[in-house]
Amino acid sequence: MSSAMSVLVVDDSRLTRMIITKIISEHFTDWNISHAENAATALQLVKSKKFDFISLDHNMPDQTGFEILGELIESQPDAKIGVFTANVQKALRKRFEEQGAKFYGKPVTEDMILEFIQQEA
Amino acid sequence: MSESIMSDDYCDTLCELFNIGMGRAAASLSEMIDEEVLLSVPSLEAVSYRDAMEKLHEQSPDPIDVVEQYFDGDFSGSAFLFFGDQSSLELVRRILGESYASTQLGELEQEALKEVSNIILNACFGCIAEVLDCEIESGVPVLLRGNVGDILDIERMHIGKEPLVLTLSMSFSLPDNLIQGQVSLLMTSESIRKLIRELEQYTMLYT
Repeated sequence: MSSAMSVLVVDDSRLTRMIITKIISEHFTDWNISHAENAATALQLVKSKKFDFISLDHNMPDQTGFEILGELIESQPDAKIGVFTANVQKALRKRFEEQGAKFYGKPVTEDMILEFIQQEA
Repeated sequence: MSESIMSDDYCDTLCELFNIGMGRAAASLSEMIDEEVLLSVPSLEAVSYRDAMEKLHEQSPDPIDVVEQYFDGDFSGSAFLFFGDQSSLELVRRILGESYASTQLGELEQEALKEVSNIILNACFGCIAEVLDCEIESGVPVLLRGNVGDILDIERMHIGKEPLVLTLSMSFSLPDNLIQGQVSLLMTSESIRKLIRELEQYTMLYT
């Protein structure tokens, strides 16, 4: 992947934001990574900046990832969205996948992040 | 309160591990009752035994159903799964079938409740052990009913004079909101220190 991409990491867990950031930074040193610790911040960021990839948590304090998915897609129609959540129930996975999001169960691993980025690129 | 025992960063890390464990447990539970289980956003507090008791007394002034499961290995202590009012009976009813209408916990209901708790608590233990690369063995779940003070009696548990309590507040519920539970871990001070060391090492991998 030659050109620098822009990534938004949406997760209320600081640990998970750190893990995702570290994995991406190690493989793509010139990529720009933004963080949102809740749904409201994510919605603000997608209105002001263009993203190529969005990693999205589901269980967050203000709104769930699924509740803001439509708005994220609307604001960033070209962004590839990957859901990284601990809630690995089939019903939830199905709902996200029906909206075109990739679904991954936590804990986040390097393989997962690379698969999301490389498969979607 | 949490700063004095465990830093916010380590609480965040541990909270995320519990979150993953509860997510896996919810997936198993969802298969059992054929219904989606709703999970709240978790929060974790590391507090002294006295503070934990005060809080639990406020939350549950009446006798409650609790499943206790001892754990040992790199860390040791007792894990408790608290059920809200009528939640234990409702959960059993969902597992055993809609037509099941018992009003008290008989032998079959108790077995079902212990098995559900076993799934939930072991999913949490399993996730912590997997991610922190340590070993945690769990004992047989035991169902207790009584006041919080009797259930969390440190003399009964032989857990040292000043145990610390990690309380994970994360409720799981069904769409009609009838089932709610909460997980608490009582650990010796020494175990908490070991856990903090493990969390420190793990967190350093990503800083």
